Formats: sequence, structure tokens, C-alpha cells
Amino acid sequence: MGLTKRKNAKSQKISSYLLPIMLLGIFLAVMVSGPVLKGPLDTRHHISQTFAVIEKDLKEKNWSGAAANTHILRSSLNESFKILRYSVELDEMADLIINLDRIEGYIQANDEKGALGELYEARGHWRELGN
Amino acid sequence: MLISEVYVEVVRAAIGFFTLLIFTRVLGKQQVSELTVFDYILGITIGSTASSLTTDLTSSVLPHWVGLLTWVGFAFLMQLASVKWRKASKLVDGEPSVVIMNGMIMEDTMRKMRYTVSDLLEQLRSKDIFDIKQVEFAVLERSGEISVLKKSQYQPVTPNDLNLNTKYDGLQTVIIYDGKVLEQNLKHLNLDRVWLQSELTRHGVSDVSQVLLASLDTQGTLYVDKYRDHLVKLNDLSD
Repeated sequence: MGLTKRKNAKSQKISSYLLPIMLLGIFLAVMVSGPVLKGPLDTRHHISQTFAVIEKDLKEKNWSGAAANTHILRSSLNESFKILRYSVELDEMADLIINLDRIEGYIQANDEKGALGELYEARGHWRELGN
Repeated sequence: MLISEVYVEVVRAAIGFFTLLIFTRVLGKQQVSELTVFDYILGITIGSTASSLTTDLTSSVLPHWVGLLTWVGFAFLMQLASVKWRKASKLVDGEPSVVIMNGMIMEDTMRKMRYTVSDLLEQLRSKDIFDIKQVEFAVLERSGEISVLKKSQYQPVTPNDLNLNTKYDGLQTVIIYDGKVLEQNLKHLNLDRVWLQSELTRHGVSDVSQVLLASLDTQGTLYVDKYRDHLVKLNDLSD
């Protein structure tokens, strides 16, 4: 009887420590998920690669290609944001999306310089996201 | 964007809430009335950091959390140091100061503590002391509260003064809480359900579910409070 009681008290004590530690571990995992998952998401959705392709399109004045690839980049980023948003700055994500809107505008106006400027800024936002 | 922000808010609020809960448990129990000024400011800062962690979506959650962890970590270290070293405790929490000695106000101490005579009189009044002559000693505690020792001629008479014998009066043991019998407590008192039922019948209770609270004192008297008290006239304190 005494042994069972002692065992119960011991397991109760362990669980009283284990539960908070587990919770803090989960929180920490959620909080660092952004910087950790950004790399794999970039690879999976070819984000950096798409930035480079758009840059090439803009420099070659391939406006239709640049527009199509910007559209692809927007979808890829939106997919990545669904996972990253819990641990990164929402402002940085919003700014990145606004950059894409501006790029689309510059593409419509066939303005290479403006579009490239926005593209570089968007890439900067992506690089800084979660850092 | 709004919906996704709501999801993020919920997750961040859960992180802030449970982190704060865990951290405050780590910091231990301290009565709010006994908090020093530093404890008070510490509490506000930790709460404010937890609040920004939840609502400030312009920055990522980790820096806020690390800030919270650092503040709690320092507070914990201060507590450890205060418990272990008396000097650290004096440095962190300060020391109690005597502000009235033998009925006389210690002006220098009061000035050093930036404690005014009005503050002193107010605190004395809150302790039902309207005549400063009645005070033998008054100590300004670290929390800013005042502890008073009245002169012996102004202290109430106790049974000990009258050489009266008193019965032992220990803690009451709760036996029924919210209509449910606390079996463990009943067992601890070496009593059983049969005894309980007979006692309840004496109090006009036919079933345990009718009882809000029942407790047994050290004299063996059972106190029973029913959900329906059947009072004829209720005292109404409202205007």
C-alpha cells in the first residue's frame, strides 16, 4: 500500500515537471519553426529560384514571362506564409506581398528599373523574414 | 489577412498565457499585499511583455518570449540570492524600519524612507489607531505596510491575562463540498458514511446532494450549510 502511494506520488511529481517542460518545448518549436522551415519551404516552392527567373525575365524585357512568374511566386509565398506566419513578423510578409503588387504594376507599364527595384526589395524581405 | 491574423493571435495568446502560468509557478507564491515596489514593477513588466508577445504582430514571437524568459530568470536568480544570502536580500528587498519608538516618531528614518507623517497617520488609522500615544512601536515593512505594537495598557485583554483555560481550537476538516462527500477526509478522521448520514439527519438533511458545505471542528461539532437555508427574512444591504 505504502509502496503504491510512494510510486503514485513520484509519478505525480514527474508529471508536474514533465508537463510544463513539454509545453515550453512545444512553444519553443512553434517559435523557431519560421527560421528553421524557411529553407525547406524555399526549396520546395522554388522561391529563391523564382526570384532569379523573374530578374532574368525583367532584364530580358520578357514581360509576359515576368508576369506569369510573379504570379507563381505569389502563390508559392502564400503557401509558405500559411506555415511561417506563427513565428515571423506579419509586417514583413505584408510588405513582401505589396512589393509583388508593385512589380505587377511596373510589368504592366513595362518599367524594368522600377520592377527590378521592387524585386530586390521583395527578395530582401524574404531573406529577413524570421531572422 | 484578418482571419489568418486571428489564428496567429490565438496561437500567440496560448503561448503567452501558458508561459506566464508556468513562469509564475516557478517564481513561487508571494502575497500581493507583501510585494515590494520592485516586485510590483517586475510583475507589471513581465505582464506587459507577455501582452506584447500576444498582440504585437509586427515582430516575431521569439524575441518577446526570450525577453520574458530573461526577466523571469533574473527574478528567479534574485529570489535564490535573497534566500541564500541575507545581504542580498537586504540589497534587493530593503529592510523594515522603525518609524515610531516608545510613542515617538523617528523623523530621520521617515525622511530616509521618504515616508510622510500623513502616510503614517493614515496607515495607523487603517489599523484603528487614532491616538499616536497608544503606539509602542511601528515598523514600516518592506512592502510599505506598517506593523504596529500597541502599548500594553491599550492592548485588548486575552484569556491568558485573565488566567482562563481555553479549549484547543484547530483547523476544521471539510467533509462535504458542493454536494459531494470527500471520502479521503472522512477516512482520515476515522469516520464513515453511516456516522455522516446520522449527523446529517440530525441537521434535517436527507441527502448529501442538499449540502453545500459540511465541516467538522476539533470539538467534534459538525457545521452544515445547505443549498436551501429556508431563512424567513433575508437581510438586504442594497439601497
